[in-house]
Amino acid sequence: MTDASVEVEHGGAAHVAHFEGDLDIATVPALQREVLAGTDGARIVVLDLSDVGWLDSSGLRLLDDLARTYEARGAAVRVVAPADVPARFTLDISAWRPELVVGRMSDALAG
Amino acid sequence: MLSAVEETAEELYEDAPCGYMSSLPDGTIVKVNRTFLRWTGLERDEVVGRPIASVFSPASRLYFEVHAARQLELEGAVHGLALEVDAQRGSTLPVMIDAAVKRDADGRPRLVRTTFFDATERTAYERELLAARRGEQAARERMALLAEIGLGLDEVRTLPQRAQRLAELLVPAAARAAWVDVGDERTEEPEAMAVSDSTALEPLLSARRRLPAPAAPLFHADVALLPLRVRDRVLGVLGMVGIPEAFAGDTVFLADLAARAATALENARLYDHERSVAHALQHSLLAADLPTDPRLALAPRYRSGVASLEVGGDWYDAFELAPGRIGICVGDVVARGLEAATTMGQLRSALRALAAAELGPAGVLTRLDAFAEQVPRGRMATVAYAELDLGDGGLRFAFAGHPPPLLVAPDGDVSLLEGGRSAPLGAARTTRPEAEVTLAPGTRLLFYTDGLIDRRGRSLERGLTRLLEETGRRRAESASRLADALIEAMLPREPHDDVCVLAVGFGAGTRFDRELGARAEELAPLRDELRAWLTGNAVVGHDRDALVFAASEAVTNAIEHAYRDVAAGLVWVSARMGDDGILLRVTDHGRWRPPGEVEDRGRGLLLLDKLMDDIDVDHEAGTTVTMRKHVTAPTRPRT
Repeated sequence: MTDASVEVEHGGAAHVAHFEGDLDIATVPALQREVLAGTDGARIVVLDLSDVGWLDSSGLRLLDDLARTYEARGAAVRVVAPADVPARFTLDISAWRPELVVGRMSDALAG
Repeated sequence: MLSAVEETAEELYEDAPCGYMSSLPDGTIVKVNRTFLRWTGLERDEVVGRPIASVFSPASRLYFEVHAARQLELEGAVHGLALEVDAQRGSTLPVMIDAAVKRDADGRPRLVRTTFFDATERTAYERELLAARRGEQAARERMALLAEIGLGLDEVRTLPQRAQRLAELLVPAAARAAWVDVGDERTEEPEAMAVSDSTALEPLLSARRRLPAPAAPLFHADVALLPLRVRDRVLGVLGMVGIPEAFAGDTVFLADLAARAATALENARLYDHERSVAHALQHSLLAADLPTDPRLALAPRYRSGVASLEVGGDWYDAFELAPGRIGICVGDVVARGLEAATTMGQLRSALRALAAAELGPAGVLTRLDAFAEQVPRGRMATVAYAELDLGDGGLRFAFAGHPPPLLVAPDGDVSLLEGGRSAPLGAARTTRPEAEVTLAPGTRLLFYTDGLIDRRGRSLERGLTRLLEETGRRRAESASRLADALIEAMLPREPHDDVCVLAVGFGAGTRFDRELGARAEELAPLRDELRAWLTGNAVVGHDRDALVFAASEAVTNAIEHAYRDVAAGLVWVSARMGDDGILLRVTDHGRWRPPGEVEDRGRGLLLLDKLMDDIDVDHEAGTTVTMRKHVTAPTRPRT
């Protein structure tokens, strides 16, 4: 059974969504609803994929949808994926919006 | 002045020599005369408003509902039906009834008029007649029936089986319909039921649900309600309707029959209970986590025996001795039920503890001998124990009275693990021997308990020969498929004994084959297994990530697109280790949808194209995606 969860933290101006587990078609729909509910009204949203064990094209679709939603609202989006985590592999091979991807949380919060 | 001496119509009705009663078509009593009330000692408001069937004693009520209610509905009248009315203070009153349906101008039933005649004398006469009829002939018939029921019940073991068998044995020899209710609750359907004439089924079922559980046997004409009593416990009720004349009214015989049936059912209940407790205990022990390692595939299987108390004594176990070293064990205790499960639990824990002391397989079993002496039923238990080094494939093993596990070499050669054999626990006089073999990556081992090869009436040796043959036919299968296929091939549909099988795959082998349901939750386990297989073949790093990603994407496509409109589809994933790399294939039998048809479909395929050296998509029947990737690592693991 695929297991995944997300926890949204409000710190200062930014809302940080920590994802955990596998992001695939089994988990993406529920995660998407949860993140959107937790980041309602956020000015800066950081999507932290450091603890994600798997990210595939369904996960990329989730990132697409979230980024589009936040940008339409005028909120800033960053995706955190350190160089050695599984999510980074997928982000790199798909060249997913490199301008939004950073390696460390501190870079994301620095804007 | 005539009116002073002449009775009014009302008085005639009320004090007639018969009981009168009027009820609505649904059975609700709307009117009753004084005669009926005087006979029964009931008050008018105790009777009016009740269903008519409820004025009869329980057995009689059943008879009324089965015979009278149906006949009234079909023919509009019944005549001379002998029944029993429940009177005050637990007494009963034998009656004969006539009943007729009164219809309105349109022919719809409006009322049912029932007349009750006192039948005390008539019943006494009938009883005498019946007693006279009872001869030697009837007695012999009864004995034969009791013997047949006793033998028939012995052939099955569990409570549901015995209850059903009882009903079947009674019909039609002793009743047209018989059923068994277990417990106090009246469930929708009885625990067991047999009916020779299915038209009687519906009124019987509805009547049965409204009956109270009788404290003593209740009889009426061809109906009997018999509590199934063992000592001071009432297990349930045996109901019989349509008892043939030869037995009807022979309350002694029917009560005897019920007593025997109750004993047989009680034994079955105790048997069920002990089996379920033994199984619960065994399952709680077997549920422990098994070690995981990419170089190791463990496939434990457990099948419980169907109708035997030979349960609870089989076990398997696997645990980490040290990083990269695994202890593997299968054992079998010679005992039954709870006792077996308890002993098994103690031996299993003892073996784990001894193994942790690094004594080696022979040392562990030698010390286990001493322990087994102190455990009730520990003696004569059999154990196969092995220690596997995942680094170099070294396998040390010792078997105490246990049939030798099977080894399936990567090239498909099937053999028994040789050497390391000694007597069952508690029976060895000296230090136990052990033996050693080096496993090549791709080797599969099959540990099992003797239920797999020991079928009644067949020698152990023949069973072993057959196991070797059946394994030979499946030499290319992975450990888990081997375990499933062999259980399927070797065991009858309802195995008598419990069976444990623990299949072990070492170093993953050169072939990977999985069949999975087209469901999102199947993806994560598939990725784990493929990753483990690749690791076992020394495909690691970026190559491994790319291959796992490619397989997962292709399967996701099948789930999302090919099987989009299908509730249950299957997807097959295979991978082969070749000289020039890995061949990965994902097949579905769903509907092919061109990339343009579905939004965002392109990205998955685009990524695959980027990650693999070569991709071929074939959509003749369903879709087969074949991918190749050169890998940089050597194709033989040496982790």
